Amino acid sequence: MLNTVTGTAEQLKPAMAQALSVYRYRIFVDKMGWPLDCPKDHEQDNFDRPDTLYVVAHDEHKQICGCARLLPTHKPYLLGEIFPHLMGGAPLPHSPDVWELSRFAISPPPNERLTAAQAWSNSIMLITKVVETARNQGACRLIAFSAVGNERLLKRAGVNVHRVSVPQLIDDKPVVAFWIEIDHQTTSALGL
Amino acid sequence: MLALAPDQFIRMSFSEFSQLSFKQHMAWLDDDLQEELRLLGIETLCAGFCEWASTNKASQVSVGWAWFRSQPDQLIYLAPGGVQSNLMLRCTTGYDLGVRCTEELLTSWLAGQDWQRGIPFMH
Repeated sequence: MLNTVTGTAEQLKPAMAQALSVYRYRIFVDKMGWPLDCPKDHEQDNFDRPDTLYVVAHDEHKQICGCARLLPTHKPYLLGEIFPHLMGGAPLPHSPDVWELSRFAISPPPNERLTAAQAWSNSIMLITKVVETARNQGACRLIAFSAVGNERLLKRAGVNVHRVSVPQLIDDKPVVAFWIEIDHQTTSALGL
Repeated sequence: MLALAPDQFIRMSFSEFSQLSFKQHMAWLDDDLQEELRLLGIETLCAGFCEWASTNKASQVSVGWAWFRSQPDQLIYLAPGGVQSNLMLRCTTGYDLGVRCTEELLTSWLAGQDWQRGIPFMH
């Protein structure tokens, strides 16, 4: 059973914030091979600001097993600043009620093997917490970009998700930008 | 007629959609998908994703789906999970057909396309 904490880096407490940087390095650099310009075991970028919101999933030993980052689109955000071409010519959102979801990851707790049902349950738990956190900030939509398979998984979960444009290769991996509507369909599917 | 609304769906009728030209944008193998299908009880030789894009420059329509090559008959099938797109089909009076109806029509349309030709076989 995973638990979650949400908040800014300051609200996460220094130990959790530090552990989050290590976890993100392990997932996004070591495992996924993203060529991020960051020191070893310290994955952060310009969008990890004092006002950035995080959702962190952890086990009973406080070991991090998942994370997500939320940024309002009326301030600089990753898609808008670095990957605007993923919009395929569609206008970038720029609104306090549209938030960007990035750095989303979920993994088994250390030294545990999960069944497919447990892994699915953990993924849904984290996306549910992300949607709830964004909604509490006044968001009515999320925009995200990730591997094409994640768009499909969210749809399978009943989330109201639809892509913005044609997928593009980033570091030789197909990536697509998509909307997550925080509407009745999504909140009902996630039990919110 | 292409129309980009605030929700950024591209809206058109099925008739208009049927007149668009598409080309395969990319197709690739995905081990995680194959494992997911195995857990669903679907035995596959391989599995992956396929993406088509309309050839028009403005408001490009994107249609993507997951596929698998069945172990028993080695044929390629659309995987559970449906079709992903940035399209909202509408009726002749301009009303949205809805996400579910749009997807069903796209799936039906896809069944008439020779998309299997562009699928990679193995690693």
